[in-house]
Amino acid sequence: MMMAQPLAAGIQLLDETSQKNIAKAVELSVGQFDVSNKRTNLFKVNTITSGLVLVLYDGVAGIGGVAYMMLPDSDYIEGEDANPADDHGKPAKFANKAVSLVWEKMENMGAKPANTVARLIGGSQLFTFGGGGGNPLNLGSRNAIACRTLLSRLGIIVDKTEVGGNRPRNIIFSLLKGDCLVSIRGGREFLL
Amino acid sequence: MSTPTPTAKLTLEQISADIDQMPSVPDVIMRLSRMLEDPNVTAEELGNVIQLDTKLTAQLLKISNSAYYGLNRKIMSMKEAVAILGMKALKSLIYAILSSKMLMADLQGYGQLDGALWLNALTGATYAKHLAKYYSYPEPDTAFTASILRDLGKIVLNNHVQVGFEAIEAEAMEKRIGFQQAEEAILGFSHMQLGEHIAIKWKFPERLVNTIRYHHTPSDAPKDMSKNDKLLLAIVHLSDGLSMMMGAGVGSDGLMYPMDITYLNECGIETDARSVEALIDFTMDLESEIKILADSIKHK
Repeated sequence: MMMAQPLAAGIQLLDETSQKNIAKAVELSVGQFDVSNKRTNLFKVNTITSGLVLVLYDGVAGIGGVAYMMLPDSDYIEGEDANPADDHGKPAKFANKAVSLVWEKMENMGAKPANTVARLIGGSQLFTFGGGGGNPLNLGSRNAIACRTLLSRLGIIVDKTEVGGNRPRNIIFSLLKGDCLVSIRGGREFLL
Repeated sequence: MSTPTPTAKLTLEQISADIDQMPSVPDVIMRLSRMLEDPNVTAEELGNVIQLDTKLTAQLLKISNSAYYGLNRKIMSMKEAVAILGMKALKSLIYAILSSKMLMADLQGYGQLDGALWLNALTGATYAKHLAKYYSYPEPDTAFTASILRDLGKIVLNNHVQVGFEAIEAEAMEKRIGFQQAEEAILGFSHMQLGEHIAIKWKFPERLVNTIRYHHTPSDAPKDMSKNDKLLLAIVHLSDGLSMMMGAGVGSDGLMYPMDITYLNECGIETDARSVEALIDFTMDLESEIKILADSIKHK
């Protein structure tokens, strides 16, 4: 459903093998997660706005995982858990479920917390002028706090974050070296 | 189109000329738009006018028979479609078909390519329809229509935004103002004002002119609007904000728009963290409905 965005010039920041494999990158939409232990694999997520993407990478085992979540806590939403089986195809919608889902799969493949780093990308927000007393639209920081808490319980360190602002972001995550290319729409591109 | 320059502000004459160059709205649409506002019009009269436009008839029948409505019988005529779907649903479809051709445009200036503007419009419209039901606005189909049309002005302003993007963005970020307000400061007009001119030219009903004109700044709308029209504007404003938060077809202008929490609260829409998260949760489940609708309106 999400429309493709043109690949940015920033792909040159990735290694040559990853550049060659870029057409085969697996695209995730909101609420989805995926893991892989193939170093030639890549994941991509386009037009991340208020949602938050967690990128996990165990560089020793070459195992990577990505989860694209939108909300911090399913327990906070009234009636959300009335029918837990019905996740509308979006198992990673909530941070409190996404983190354990993606980590369990990585752990089963042999990933270790001590070798794993986490990166967080997303959480752009609308302007709310005045208001005061905290911004109810600032989902990104609430998601990031939820993620950090859950990851610290697993013993995983959040290495880098690219969270906030008002722009959409695209990412491409390569398992070869664990590089994560961030493209801010209409703005700069860099490896996080 | 008038030639964009990075410094000179647009004049009313220039934007009128730009609007005149847009593809004209078929007469039948103008007639329908007026008829659909008239409570005395019958289904038969409406069906008769729609039939004058064979392309529109074919498209409406295609959507009527698509998975979007999931009917267990085949609709063969316009008269049947009016009777089964109802006039209001039909009205929202007519506006959707009319706007789809224009909203499919690539907007280089706003960084909305490959149907992104159309996806953003459809997403907001679908949210608006459901929000209308949730907040007891009596005409969910009107909310759909108002939301789908909200960014019409972007199509005309696009060329000028392309030239002035950096200046507009810098103005918005430095002065902490919305992108639309920065458009006005740099270019002389915002996409909301352009949209208003288009809507007036095409003789859209007044409440649609208002939702297009004030969808980013509802507190600036005329104070004498009815309670329902105020709620309609709040729903369009919210649907716009939610579609940006979800990232559906969002462009380089990103989320550089204000959310008028005070106005939403005045209209009975709660905006505490828990309510906002429940709304996001709700809209996420509408993705498949949006996809079905997008597929059924697809040209060719």
